[in-house]
Amino acid sequence: MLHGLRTPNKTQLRTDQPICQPFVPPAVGARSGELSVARGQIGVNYTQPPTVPHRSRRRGNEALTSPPRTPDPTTASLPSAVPNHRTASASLAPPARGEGCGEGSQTLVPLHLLFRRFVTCSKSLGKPAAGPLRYPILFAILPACLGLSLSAAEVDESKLPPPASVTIDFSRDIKPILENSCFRCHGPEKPRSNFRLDNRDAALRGGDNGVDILPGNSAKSPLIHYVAHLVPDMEMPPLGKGDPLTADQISLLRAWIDQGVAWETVEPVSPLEFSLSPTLRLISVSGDNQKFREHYWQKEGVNGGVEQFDWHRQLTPDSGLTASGHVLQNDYQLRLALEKNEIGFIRAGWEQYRKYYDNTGGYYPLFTPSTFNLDRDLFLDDGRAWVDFGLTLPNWPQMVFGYEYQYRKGDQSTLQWGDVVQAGIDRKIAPASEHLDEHVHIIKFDLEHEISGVRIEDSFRGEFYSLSTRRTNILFSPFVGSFQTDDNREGYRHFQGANSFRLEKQFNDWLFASGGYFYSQLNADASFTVNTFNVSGPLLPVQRWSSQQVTLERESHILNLNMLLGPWDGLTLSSGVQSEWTREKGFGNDNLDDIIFPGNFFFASPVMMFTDLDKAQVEENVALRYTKIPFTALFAEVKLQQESLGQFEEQVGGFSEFLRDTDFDRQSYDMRVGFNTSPWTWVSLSAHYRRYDNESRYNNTRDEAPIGFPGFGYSAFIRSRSLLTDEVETKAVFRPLRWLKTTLSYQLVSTDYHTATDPVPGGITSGSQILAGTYDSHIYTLSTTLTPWQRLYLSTTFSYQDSATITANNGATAIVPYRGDIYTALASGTYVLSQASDLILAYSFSYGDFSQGNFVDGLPLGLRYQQHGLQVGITRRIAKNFTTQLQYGYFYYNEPSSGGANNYSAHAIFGTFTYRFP
Amino acid sequence: MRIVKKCRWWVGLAVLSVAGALCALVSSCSTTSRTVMAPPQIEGATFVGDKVCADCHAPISHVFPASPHARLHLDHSQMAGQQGCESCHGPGSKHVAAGGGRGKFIVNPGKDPEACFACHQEIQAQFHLPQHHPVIEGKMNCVQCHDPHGADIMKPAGGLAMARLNQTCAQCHREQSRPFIFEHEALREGCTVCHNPHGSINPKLLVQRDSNLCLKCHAQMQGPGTGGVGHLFIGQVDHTDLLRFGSCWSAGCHTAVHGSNVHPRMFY
Repeated sequence: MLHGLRTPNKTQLRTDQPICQPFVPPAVGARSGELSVARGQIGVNYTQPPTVPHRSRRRGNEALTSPPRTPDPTTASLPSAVPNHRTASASLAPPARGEGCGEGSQTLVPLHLLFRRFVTCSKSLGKPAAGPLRYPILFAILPACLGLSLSAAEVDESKLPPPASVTIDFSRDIKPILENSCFRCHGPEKPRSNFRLDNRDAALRGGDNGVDILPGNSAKSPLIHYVAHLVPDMEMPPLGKGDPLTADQISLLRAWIDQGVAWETVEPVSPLEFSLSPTLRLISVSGDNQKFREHYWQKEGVNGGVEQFDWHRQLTPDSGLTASGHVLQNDYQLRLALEKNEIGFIRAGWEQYRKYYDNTGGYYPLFTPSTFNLDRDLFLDDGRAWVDFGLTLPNWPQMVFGYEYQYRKGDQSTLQWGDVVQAGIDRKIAPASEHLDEHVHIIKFDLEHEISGVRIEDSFRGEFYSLSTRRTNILFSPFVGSFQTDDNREGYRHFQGANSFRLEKQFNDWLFASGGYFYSQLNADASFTVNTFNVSGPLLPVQRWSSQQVTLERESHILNLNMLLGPWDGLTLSSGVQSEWTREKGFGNDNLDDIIFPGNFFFASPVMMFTDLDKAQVEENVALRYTKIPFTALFAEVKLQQESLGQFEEQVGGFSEFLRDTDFDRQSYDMRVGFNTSPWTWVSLSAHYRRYDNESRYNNTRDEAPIGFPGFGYSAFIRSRSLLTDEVETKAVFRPLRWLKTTLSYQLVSTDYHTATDPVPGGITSGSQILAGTYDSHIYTLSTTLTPWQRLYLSTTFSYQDSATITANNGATAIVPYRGDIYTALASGTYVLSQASDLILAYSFSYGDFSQGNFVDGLPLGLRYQQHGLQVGITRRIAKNFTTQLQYGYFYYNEPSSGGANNYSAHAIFGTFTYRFP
Repeated sequence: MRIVKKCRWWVGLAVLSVAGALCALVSSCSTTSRTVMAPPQIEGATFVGDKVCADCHAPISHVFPASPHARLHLDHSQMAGQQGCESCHGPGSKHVAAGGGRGKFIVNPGKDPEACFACHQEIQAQFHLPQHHPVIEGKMNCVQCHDPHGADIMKPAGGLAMARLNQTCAQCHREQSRPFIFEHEALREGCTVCHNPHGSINPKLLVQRDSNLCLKCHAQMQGPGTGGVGHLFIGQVDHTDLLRFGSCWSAGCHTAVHGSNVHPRMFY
């Protein structure tokens, strides 16, 4: 499918979750007889039980979600008031899930489970599972756990609702309860206390704290005690994690356990699932087919392939093998994953796509022929292959070791155009290209772990990079009076090691802090050759610049600290500071030899080049958000930067010797204030104002050009630069009807550029400051989403931008303002034609006009174009597993500013067939 | 005749529209239980609230209040679907019921930009300009460049909380972000000084296609020695005639715009 032609997913009607009546155990603080209306439940004698606060491993998060609670005096002061009727032999109740052995643990635990509990306790204290400290800590904890267990009260089973007197159907009666109330914490992903309730084996096995389900004996099953809230501090779901189960639900769970814990009675899911979507495409282009390729990232003609394939095999309940991807013309993707819960994964893949380029160069209306063509296809293949090995063992650091290979190879068009001379007029419009060969080998290591609430992240990248380029340009030599070929070759390779280390911790409800350190070291060597050949006569190099000895180094240290405070009465404050120190050095031992015409005088010109940059930068940011005003958020942010840089550059030898020593410093701020409000259900309003101010100063302590022709020496002539941006953005979202949403937005951006330069002798410039340029832009966007019927979805977006860039050209007629408009319109829709068929529509349009009239004195580079893309199609499910899709597309591009050389129109037909199993 | 020719396009469009409307009217008589849903909607799912998400995604929920996206996080907001995780990821009840998992009944804007475009329509429009990064083609995605949950949205996820200079672009464009003997100082202010990363009408995603791109920083006060109005010196060099050939970089002079190992003026 071509871009701009995406259609929304089509799905079935929603279903709402049933509202259940919660069960409140009388022993745990319920005051029966009270009438309350809460959570949408009406006429229920119900009051939220004042549960003992539930402690989670994610304490900060839990605390944020839990309202203040007053301990019930009947349970807080008299823990033994909760009777314990469990015997030592039958009581298998563990402490609360993931809770360790705190003061709330009040159940009897058999000895063989106590050891597990010690390990849990030690882990909850942040100690590793192994190590010299392990056993002393365990033995320190042991008496406490034993004491608490021995003093625990028994559960009063008489307060349990009776088992339901029905034959349990797992899918009908139990599965919805587990999905709504249990899977949130005890699903297959990161199960709390390693206790899972998504399959029978895991449920019966229990978790870190022992067995929770005793088949045939629901009254003794800890799971029932927990959901019935008979065990303080172990209520399930914990407060804030879901509504308590109703008495009916507990009765069903009891019956389910008493009847043997039957699991899924429906046909088990097939271990094998796959889908395959072969496609056939026919694209016919008339006009500039290379421009079409560049715009739509694909080639014309007949081609086919597999638009998407997905294959998944469930090897065990905990492990699976997955393959997915697509195979199209010059666009491939293959992803493989072998994953096992709580063990790890192996993920590998390869993907490559092709970026196409047009090769028509520039256009000049006075010339004939008006356009030029390299007469060959230009494209870059961009790809990567990778393999990652991940460890996801519970309570262990999550680690990923990986290797990745990235590459780009091919020929791309460049904007370094060559000469075309006609009637004595020379314009640089001849197309040019560059051959690029880029390879990157990356070694990766990532680690994540949490110790005592401190989250640790480390990421290392070792990168071997190599680059080879070759660019050829056509040059016209006024001295020789003929065209020449300029051949530029460059080689570069580096190794860069970079490591990022980060710590973060949620200290309490209102304080989160993080910090990190980044270090990188880059060592590179480079080479180049620049040869100019006289193509009209004998092959004679007229310029021979080369070096095989360029070395570069870069080293960075970055320290970062952040803090997030609040919310305090609706106020949230976040702040950060980052300091960077970077040192960069470069050295080149070059030959900049020239042969000067006429006479073929050869000038050998060995030179040495040096550079040394020493940069220090500090960045601070502060952001405030206030949400106390109803339905409204106010925000204010500011980012400050201070940078100082010592820059030394020198060239020794050659025609343009120079030495520069500059102290550079820069201060900037980027502030933004605004609001977002939604006072009524049908409207949302937001706006912000932003100001960005960037002030740069160059103190050129040494700026020397001792020899050479006037103007050949390097002139570090800029003294200061200032960039000031004002931005206003507003957005209004209206939803007057359930099926209609409209968004209006407006953005204004205005930037002034000021530059001050050194005075230049001869009256060239006095050296004062100048308003070098201005940029002004207005963007208006209107977007509408319509769903008037459940079978129709329609989305449209219209955007208009006018912008102007005007620079101080001192009346030079070659430079005119870059000013123009861009219109963009997008529309997409889906209509459900029948139970088996959908109609889809997508349309995109853009028009831009930045055309310029300076074709006599300059090169009019401003673009004017018009682009349409229309696609209609039908999707039909012809059988349970078979779907077909047929689409037609029409694409049109017109570019008068290039004399029509880039125009095209295209027709496309796509047919796709999808088979899904099962 | 000319009027008929001129109007042919509109007449055709009108006929198609009427025909389409009639087809829709006729087909609407048939019954179907199916509903069209666009991301971030999820079939059969209902909203569960941020607190449920935080149970498993604590690292994200911890740092999210510092994110620019948290500006839109209005507790008790009146407009539905405007607040919290599910405004981007879709209603989460089925994801929770499935016990979580990668891509299980949850919208991943990292794979499909439609969820981002629901709010950022102006960016969606930019991605439909002739030159753009291949996001709508599915070869890139928004989160490769933006961390939607972290304190600094102008960087990829992971690593330090605040962006480094040109960090986002450098992860792919190493050729341009590598060190040079002679750097172009414009890179100190970031790639976006010259490029619009989402989309542009100009090749190489340039914000301007002519010498105005450079002159907005490099223009200087002209003195009497420059020859008067109509003449343009930059530094010590008269560029008046040179600018007639084309732009500063396309006319064959300052071609090494990102830096050079050969010449301090970015030649070659």
